[in-house]
Amino acid sequence: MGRPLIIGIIIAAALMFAGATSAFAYDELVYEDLDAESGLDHLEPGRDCIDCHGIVDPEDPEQKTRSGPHGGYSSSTTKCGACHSVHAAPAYFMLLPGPTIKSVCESCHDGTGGNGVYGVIKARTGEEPLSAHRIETTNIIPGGDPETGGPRAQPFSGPGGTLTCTDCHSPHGIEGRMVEPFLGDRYRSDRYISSDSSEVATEYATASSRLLRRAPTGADTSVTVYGTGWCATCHQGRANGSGTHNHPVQQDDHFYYNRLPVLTSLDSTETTLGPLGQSNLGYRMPEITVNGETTRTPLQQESPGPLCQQCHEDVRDATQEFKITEPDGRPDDDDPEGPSTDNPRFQVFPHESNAQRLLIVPPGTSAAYTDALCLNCHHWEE
Amino acid sequence: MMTARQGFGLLAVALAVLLIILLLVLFLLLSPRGLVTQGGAAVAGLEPVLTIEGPGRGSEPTFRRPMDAAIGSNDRIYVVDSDHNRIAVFTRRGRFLFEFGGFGIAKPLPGFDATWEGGLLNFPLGIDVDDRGDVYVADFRNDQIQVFDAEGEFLRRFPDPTKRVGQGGSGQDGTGIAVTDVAVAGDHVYAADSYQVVVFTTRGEFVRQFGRPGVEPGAFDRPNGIAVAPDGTVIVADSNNARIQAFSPEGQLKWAVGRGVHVSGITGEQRDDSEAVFGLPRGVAVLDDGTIAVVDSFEYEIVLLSDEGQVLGRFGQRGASPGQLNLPNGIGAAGDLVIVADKENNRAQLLRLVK
Repeated sequence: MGRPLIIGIIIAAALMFAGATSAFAYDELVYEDLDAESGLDHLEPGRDCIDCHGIVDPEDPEQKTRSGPHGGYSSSTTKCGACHSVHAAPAYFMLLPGPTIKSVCESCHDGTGGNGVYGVIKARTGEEPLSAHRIETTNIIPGGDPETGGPRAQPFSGPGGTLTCTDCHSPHGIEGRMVEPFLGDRYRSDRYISSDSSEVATEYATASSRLLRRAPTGADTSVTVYGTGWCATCHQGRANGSGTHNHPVQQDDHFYYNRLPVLTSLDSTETTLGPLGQSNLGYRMPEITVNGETTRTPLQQESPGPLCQQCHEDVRDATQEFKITEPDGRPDDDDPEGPSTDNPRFQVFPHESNAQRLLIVPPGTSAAYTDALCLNCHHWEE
Repeated sequence: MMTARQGFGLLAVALAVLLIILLLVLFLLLSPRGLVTQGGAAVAGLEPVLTIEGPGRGSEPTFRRPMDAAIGSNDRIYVVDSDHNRIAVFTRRGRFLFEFGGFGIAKPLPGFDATWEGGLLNFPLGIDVDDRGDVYVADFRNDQIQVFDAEGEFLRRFPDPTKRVGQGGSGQDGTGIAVTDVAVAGDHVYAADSYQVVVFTTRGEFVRQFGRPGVEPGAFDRPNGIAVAPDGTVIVADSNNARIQAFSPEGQLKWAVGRGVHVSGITGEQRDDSEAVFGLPRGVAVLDDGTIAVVDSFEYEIVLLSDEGQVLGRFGQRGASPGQLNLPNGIGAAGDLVIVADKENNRAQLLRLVK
């Protein structure tokens, strides 16, 4: 064997080792080349996995998570594995068990694990709902353009940039990134009273963050409360001060909804002038029971400004007092054979509605809205 | 000595037997086959016996998110093909026999038509088969239970979904019950709704109800599975509370395993999940030896319990191969086999637990 051959072998071996070095030096905690199909291509390359996934510090409010399916990750739990697989995931997208985020969410949120889900209306009508936040269908935001009030397109997290569940909800349940519980919300189904009607299950208070993000749909602004400000992070053309004239939806403007006919008391049909959102005939926020104590003026109702939800909510009759005397879906104990006080009926707002534009209209109304919606606040006697 | 007449008679009998055998072979060859896979290697303690992905014919040849399955005393396999609003029936070898169901609305919104007639379904979730072979189906969005004979002919329904049941149930507008699963034992039918157990006779008369919403022992948060042991113990998969609870037939709590993990929206109360027994128990069945098989959706496995709730073993792993599971939901049992509704894999699997 000649010297040139030996030198050649040495050089070749050196080159091979040199080439292998860079391969072996690849940091498995850093991703570089995730493609669009992975659903992670919107992230900056070169970051560590831990940059996103982190190590949860239960004492840090920014990292504190809930127990239950959405949260509670620690060194002694295996909660991540409920939805994600490190290896051999049946579906490629984000290592989830289903092909899309929607399909994964609906594995549980199909009515068997909780209320407020998609599909309820079609199950009672046989038809698609008249309006909805349509998931994995569109990337157009009605009223999203802050200058014109017209529609605006935006890339979301669903397939093809469409809106999906995680654009609004935080499935990982990190409290510092979710809104505060919405105390002005109304009762939700079957969480309040025992089947023998003997006691109220106060542990099941209505208020919940619903895992809503403080910065939904990737918004720049962070909103801590589910209400008008939260909606306006996306529907920017509907907020006060946008480039078009809107029905004012926030209190920090020149218009105050503080001289409206409201009920003088809970038991009265007489009215007096007062702010909206307390005992208004059309929309009386229900009492909230927390640990056995009932309050009538939830935090958000102290504001004289109306909320988007005062016109946009589940279908109900805006001409009738919205008074809940019993938990949803149950007849009044004093009149067990009488009509249910379940009003609204489906409680799927803002997911879908059997009214147009997700507006509160009497059930069965075909028009987008009726005068009753206006008279709900602008009483004809005033 | 055989006479000619006797000889012809014997020949006729032999030919008749041959004809029957021939017809049987032709039937087996020509009758429709389901989309099935036979056998396979055991995976994490689960030996796949049969994998059924659908009838293999018609406009919907494959399942979409089946939520439950059962093996009847007639050795038939019943699969609840929830998203397709149908029940598909197979032999124990996976041969497709027939299907029944279809979409019908029993409680329409005002202004819409009720399209339900006997046998039509609206998001069926659970199933059980009684000793006679009658099939009981949890017709979830119609807030009722429907009963069929072994051939899929509609027999009756209960409760009336437009009337209040007992002291109230979780059905829409407070009438009927939003039933997630059913179990038949003797003359009684046990139904799980959103927060309680409602007991009927097999004829549909209301007997009693027990449970309430909550995390306390005896309370429920979205139970999704129910079964009855030979001694009458009622086993309930209390899904959102991540536990299994056992009751006497009268509703007295006997034991519970797992723990509630509910978090109050107001107080933000935290609970330690580190020693949780279950992730999300959704289906439950009692095996012939009295042990209890629990389908845990979030752990992608079957948990075997003793008849007093002790954990005896865990079987299965996540995946899409035969023997693996992907968000499994419901379970039925017969002999040493279980049939699992492998929901997110869009299939049902007949499995043997390799202990």
